[in-house]
Parts: sequence; C-alpha cells; structure tokens
Amino acid sequence: MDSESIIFGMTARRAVAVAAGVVVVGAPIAVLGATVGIGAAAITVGAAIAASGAITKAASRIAEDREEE
Amino acid sequence: MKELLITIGLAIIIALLQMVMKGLSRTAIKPKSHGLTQEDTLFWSDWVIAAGLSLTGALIVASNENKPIPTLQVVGCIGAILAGCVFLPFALRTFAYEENAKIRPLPPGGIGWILIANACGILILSSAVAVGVNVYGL
Repeated sequence: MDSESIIFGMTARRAVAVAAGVVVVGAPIAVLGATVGIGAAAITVGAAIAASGAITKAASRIAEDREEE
Repeated sequence: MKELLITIGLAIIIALLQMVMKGLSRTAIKPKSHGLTQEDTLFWSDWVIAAGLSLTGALIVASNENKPIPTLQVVGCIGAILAGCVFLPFALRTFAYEENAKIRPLPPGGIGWILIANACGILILSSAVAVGVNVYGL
C-alpha cells in the first residue's frame, strides 16, 4: 500500500493507525459488554479510564521529563 | 463487578510499586532527586501482557475442570489482546511519538497520549478478567 495515498483526507498509514485505535478501544469494550452486561461494562469502562487517568497523572508528576540540555 | 474493580485497583497498586522499584534502582537525573522519566509512566504493555496471562489461566482452568467457556467472548478477548499487542504499538508509533522517540505533548498537562495508552491497556486487562470471572463462575 502506498503510504502517500489519501483515504478520507489521511495518508494510508494514518488511516490504518486510526482503524487500529478503534479496534484497540472497541474490542475490549465489546467483550466487557457481552460478558458482564452493558450497565456493568459502562461502570467498568468509567472506572478503568478514571483509574488509569489518576495513576498516569500521579506517576507523571513524579517523573517529569528531563529538561533538554 | 466487584472482581473487575479489584483488578483495576490491583493494576494501579502494581504500577505504583513498579514506579517505586524503578526509582530505587536508578541514579538521579540532576537536578532531580530521582531517575524517573515520563516514559516510566507507561504501563499499557504490562497490562496487555497481564491480560494475556489472565485469559490463558482461565482457559486452562476451564479445560481442567471441563467447564464451558463463553466462546464469543473468549474469541473477542483474544482479538482485543492481539490488537493490544499488534495494533496499539503501531497506532502509538504513528500518533503518540515524534522524532527521537519523544512522546508528543497532548492535553491535559501534556500527558494525554500516556493517559490514552494506559487506558487502552487497563481496558484490555479488564475485558480478560471479565471473561475469566465468567469462566470461573464466581
């Protein structure tokens, strides 16, 4: 596939990466919905996003990147 | 439901312990008092691997105890784990990193991509645990 070809205003590479992102987010949510039910899945997704946000923020505050020399 | 929330809590505790151990094992990057960088706040790969191990364990138990497995969910979960192992790194490489393997700053606070990557990882782990709970019949 030509990486310069345009699909919906994006290069082929970007279009594939967007599709990949949709699969990565959509697949686990679909599995959660089918396994524990839509309500429980919604709570879990909310809790997961909030929890990962909290840990990322806390860890990032500790680990601030080194200033460019 | 309770099991899923316990999993999320455990994932966070393990991530924090990882940070502590990494911090203890490294010399400081001056002028900071520790050797941690933002790259150390990425936990998605650990969580995707943990999802794979968790699903494998559940399938082994199901096989040993002749328990039925929810086929569609298991197939979906394998798809989610594969996507996490193959597509997520590719998507992050395309969008989240700029030249010299530096993470692109994205709101809030410039840690947007780290947050997105970690959220994907914990979602994949949660889906594997949900399938496992279904198999164990808790």
